[in-house]
This record gives sequence, structure tokens and C-alpha cells, in this order.
Amino acid sequence: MDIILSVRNLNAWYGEKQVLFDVSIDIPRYHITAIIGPSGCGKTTFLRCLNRLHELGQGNKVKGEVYFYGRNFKGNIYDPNVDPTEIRKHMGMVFQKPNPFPMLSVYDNVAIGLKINGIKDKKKINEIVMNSLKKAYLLDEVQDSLNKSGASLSGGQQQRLCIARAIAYNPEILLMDEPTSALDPIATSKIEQLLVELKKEFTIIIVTHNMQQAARISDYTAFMYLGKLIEFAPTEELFETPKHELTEKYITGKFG
Amino acid sequence: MRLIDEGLQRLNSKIIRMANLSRETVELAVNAYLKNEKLTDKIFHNSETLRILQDEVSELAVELIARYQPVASDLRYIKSCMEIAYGFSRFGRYAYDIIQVLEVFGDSSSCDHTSIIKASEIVHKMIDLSIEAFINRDLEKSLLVEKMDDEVDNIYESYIANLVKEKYKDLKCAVSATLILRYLERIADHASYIAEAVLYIVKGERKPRK
Amino acid sequence: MKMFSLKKFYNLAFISICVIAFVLAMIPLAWILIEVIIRGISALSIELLINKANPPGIPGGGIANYIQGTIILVGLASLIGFPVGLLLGIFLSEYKEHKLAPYVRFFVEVFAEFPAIVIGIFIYVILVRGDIFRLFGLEKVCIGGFCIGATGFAAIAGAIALALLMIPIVAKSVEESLNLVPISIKEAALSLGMSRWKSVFIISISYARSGILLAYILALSRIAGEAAPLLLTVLGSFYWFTGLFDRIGALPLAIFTYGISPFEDLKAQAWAASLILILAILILNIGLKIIIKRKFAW
Repeated sequence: MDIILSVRNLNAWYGEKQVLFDVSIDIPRYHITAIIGPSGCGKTTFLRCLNRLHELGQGNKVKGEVYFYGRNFKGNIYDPNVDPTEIRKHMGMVFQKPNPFPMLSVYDNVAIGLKINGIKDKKKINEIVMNSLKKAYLLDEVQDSLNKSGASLSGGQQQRLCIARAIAYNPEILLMDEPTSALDPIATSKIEQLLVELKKEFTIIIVTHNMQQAARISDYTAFMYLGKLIEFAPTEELFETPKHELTEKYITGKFG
Repeated sequence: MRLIDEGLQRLNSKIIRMANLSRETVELAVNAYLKNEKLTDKIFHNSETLRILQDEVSELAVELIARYQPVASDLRYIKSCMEIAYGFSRFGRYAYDIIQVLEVFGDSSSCDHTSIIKASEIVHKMIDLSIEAFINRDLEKSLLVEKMDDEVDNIYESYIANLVKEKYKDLKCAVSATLILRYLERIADHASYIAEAVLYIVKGERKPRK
Repeated sequence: MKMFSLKKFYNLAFISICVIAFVLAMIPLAWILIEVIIRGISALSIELLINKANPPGIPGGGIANYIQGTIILVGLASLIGFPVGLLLGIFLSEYKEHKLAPYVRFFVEVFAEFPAIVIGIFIYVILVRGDIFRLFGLEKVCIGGFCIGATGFAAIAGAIALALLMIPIVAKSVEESLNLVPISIKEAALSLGMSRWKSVFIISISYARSGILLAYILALSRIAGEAAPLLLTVLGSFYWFTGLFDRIGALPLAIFTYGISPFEDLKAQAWAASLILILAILILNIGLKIIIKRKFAW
């Protein structure tokens, strides 16, 4: 298994409250890894530790190592010499509620990531923007509304726009925080198909509270509970024969 | 109570009904053959009931899967129920085959029933044990059943070997006994599959097919 | 049935009280407006708008130089006031956790309530009389060929005083607009790999741009009508603009001096000037607001 991220003893706090306890996991490259668990188990916090977003909150703390074996970066992303901004360029993030920039057009939403990274050639930008929109299964639908505000699209389209925005500058990892929980079933299914297609080029880590979604699209599934990683296995294994009693209880709905 | 639990209970009751009916039917058929009782209609009727029940189990299992997306132990249980229901319906079928031998070959009281009686006693025990193992998820009982399957195989194989070696006294007896033993051996196999299913439900492990 | 009509009655009574209160509050406002319009229009003429004021004693003249003066003062003030206010607003909104934040906030809050005349006095002493230079034992400070000393009554002093008035207004409004930027937008920007300051200046400001521009207009309208600080810093002038370090006229000052003068024609000019001032503020607020909403809102 080709590992892209190696998390070792990750601990995280919201102020005084500890929410992650010694989480260690190896994320395989070019696969979809799903993280499931009940509310408050720390899965979103874990995700936000991977692109160093968690530490931006006031009073938040992170301890531990996350080794990233990227194309242009190899090492611990929490090393004191590392600039967090640089790390985030290797990882795209998509959030639960679609958040395209409403003050920018559809086109500019995708282009902005390129512009701030120093790409100035208009032709190149155009090529990448169109390509990203195409990869996100969105180009056909927005061909004629590229200049409209990013917020003028439907919910499902907005989320695909966010995906296009995230993949534009070619990150290696896509971090998705419950990307379809605010969408209707058809939009959800479109995005799930999209993700399965995208894993050919990106490693995808998706947090979801929908177990069936994890079962549908992921290759590996991690189950977290109360801030700890309980089980991590190939998806068919975890859903057919989970090894840990807690996992079995959660996925069969015998919790609480 | 989860939503799926009501469905699982219904599934369980159907399986238990099939278990009892098939056990009863096999016993009935073997005794009828040994004692020359004309029970063809009743056994046929039971066999049909078992077939219908098997279809019901299959349908219910599919309904539970479609509605509740079961996983882990629930999924393994439902899958096993489908396999076990098939096994029980086979019991009914073989019981019918056994009584058919009586129909075709007629009275066999002049034949030597020793092997048949030995085999049928083991088979009855195997059926009882495998049903108990399933109901109680008892892995020990299921291991016992595997061993007993070998015994039945031995009885069948040695009877055939004997036939080949020595000349038979009566063709009718030889053929009907062979058929009966064959059906008993198949019943034993299915009983052992039922016992294996218990291991799969509890641990998720499968024995490789011999 | 009885309960229902009781409720209806209370409803009606409440609405009526609101309407009455509104009307009462509007009466003086409307009265002022009507007075200004009537008296202003009767005094208004093309000559008034084109000619500068006449030196004292000579009747006639216009208010054109005062209009010019107000425009220059307000323009200069916003050159200083807007950027500083914007930066302060950004700091207050985006860097709440910074050590200095509580001090800056306190400073802005206090300054916002400062009486304009106190700011006037402050600039008068510091700049007009030049005490800031004497503090260092100097008459003037020269950088290259450019020297600056006590300014006397000067346009630059007035502009600085107005800027000081403007800064807290802009800062508070900008902060409020930036506070409305949803966290999801900021996080989206950060997760794209934008540095903190880029996400503020490229994304947050862009998101809040109509609010920020409106803050600017609000502040402009405020200072355009201020007389007290100008009284102490520019004193007033009957002439066209001659230089940053010279005295300058302004509409509020003209309204004051002409209004208390014993001459009827000057009093009339004061009404005309009031009308111009109020019209300007109205156009600024209503007109520009419409333009901003059309072009900059999303």
C-alpha cells in the first residue's frame, strides 16, 4: 500500500478540552478513505488537523506528527519550520455547506486559487479553469453562466464548484467534510460518482456521518469514537466483519 | 429496538419453523421406509411447504437488505438464513426422495437395514445439533456436527465398497439401500453446511469448501 | 369574539402610538427641511454659485469658494481618514486576539464619542500654534527641501482635524462590515493556501466591499457638515483656495458667520449655503448608495 499520509500520535484540544487522543493512521494514496463515527467523535477535528486549519481557532492546540509524502514535500507538516500556508496548497478542502465566493463569478471562483499562487498567464488560467470545471462534472451546466456570481448556482452545483475550486491548483489530497449532507439525493449521487472518478488523480479523505455513503464509495474506512481511532480496515471488511465490538455496535445501529 | 429487529425476528421464526418441519419430515420419511408405511402424500405436502417457506425467507431477506442496508453481524445473519433455508428445503426434498424409493421398490423389510439405521440415527442427531447450534449460536455444537458428517460419509462409502467387493443377495435391496444411504449422506452434508453457517454468523469466518 | 376585538384594539392602539411618535419626531425634521428649502431657494442664484465671497463690507458675492473649500477639505480629510480608518477597522475585525486589540478598540470607541470641538482645540494647539514643534525645541522640521512648522490657521490643519473625526467612524463601520463575513468564506480562502493577510485583503474586503464603501460615505456625510473643528483650525476665508498652509473657506463656516451677521443679504446667503450642504449630503447618501448597491453588491 502506497502511503501518502502517516499520522502518528495526533492529539488536539479545543482550549482545555482534549478532543483527539493519540490518533495514528496511514492513509493510502489514490484511494478514498472514509471516516465515520457518532457526532462529537473528533472526525472533523481530525480532518482539520491535516491541513492545519484546526490550530487557527483561538486557544486550539495540536500535538503529534503528520508525515506527508507528497510530490514536492516530504516530512512532518507540524515541523516548526514548515509554513502552514504552504501545506494547505497541497490539500484542497470542501466543506459541509457549499461556500463558493459569492462576490466572485463562477469562473473567478476557480481561478482565484491559481492567481494567488502566482499563475499569471491568462491562457493557462483559462485552460486550468475549464479543465477543473470539466473534472468536477460542472462545465456542461455552467458554460453559459461563467460570469454569474458563484452563489447563483443550485446547491449541488455550488458544491461541485467548490470541488472545482479545490482541485484547480492540483493538490494531492482532497479533504471533504460531509460534502453531501446539505444536498438532495440526486446531487449527492452526482458528487459520489464524481469522487470515485477523482480518486484516479487525488487521494480523498471524506468525513461522513452517512455510513451507507462510506460503504458505497470508500476503499478504506476508519471508525472513530470519543476522539480515538477504533478501527481502520478495507471497507468491505469493516462492514461485513468488523473486528472491534464498538465498531459492530455503531454500524449496526446498536449505539445509544 | 432497532427498526430492523422486527424483521430479523420474523426471519428467525420462519427459519425455526422450517427447522422443526424438516427435522420432523426426515424422521418421518426414514421411519416410513423402514416400517413400510405409506406416507407419501404427507411427506410430499411437507416438502412443498418447505419450498414455499424457503421462498418466503428469500423474499424477506431481500426486503430487509433493501430497506435497512444491514451490515456486519446483521448482514451475515441474513445471508446465512438464506443459505440455511435452502438447506432445510433440501431436507424436505431428500425426505420425499426417500419415500419415493419405498413407492418404487416397495416393501424392503426383507433387506438388511443395519447401515441405514446407523446412518439415519447419526443424521437425526446432526440435524438436531445443527438447529440447536444455529438457535444458540453455539460454536461447539457446530464443530460436533462437522465430525459426524465424516461418520455418515464413511457408512455410505463402506456400504458401496462392500457391494462392489461381495456379490449382493438381492438387487432390489442393494439399489434401494444405496439410494437411501446416498440421500442420507446428502442430508448430512447440508446439516454440516448449516453448522458452518453458525461460524460465519458469529465470527465471519468461512471454511474452505472440501 | 370579545377577546378577538380586544386584541385587535391593542394592535391598533400600538400601531397608532408608533405612527404618532414617528410623526412627532418627523415634524421638526420636516420643518427644518421646509425652511431650508424655501429660504434657500429664494436666495439661490447662478451668481451665488459661481462667484466667490466678497470681502467684508462689500455687498453681494457668492458662495462658490465655500463650496470649493468644503470639497477640498473633505477630500483631503478622506485621503488620510479613509485608509487609516480602513486599516483600523481591519485590525479590529480580523486580529481580535492580538495583544493590542483591546487598546485599539478602547481608543476607537472613545475617539468616536469625542466632541468635535475638542478635536478642533487639539489641532489648534498642536498644529496651528505649533506646540508640537516647540516640544522638540524646533521652529520647523525640514525633510529634503520640504519644511513644515506651525501652520497657523491652515487648510491642512482643518483636513487633519476632519480626518481625526472620520477615522473612528470609518473604523467602526468597516469593522462591522467585516464581522459580517461568514467564517465559511474565510476558511474557504485559507484552505486554498492563502496567507492570513491575503485572505483578508483579497477575500474579506471583497466580500464586504459594499459595506465598506457605505462606511466611507457615512463618514463623508458626517464631516462635511462639521463647523466646530474648522472654526479652530482654518478660521475661514473669503478667497479661493490658495494653498494647503493658507486659510480656506467652507460651507459650515459660511453658514455660521453669515448666519449671525446683521446683514440680511448675508443671512440669505447662509440659507442658500445650508440648502447646498443638505442637498449635497442627500445626493451623496441616496445617490451613491444606489450606485454602490448596483455595481458592488453581489
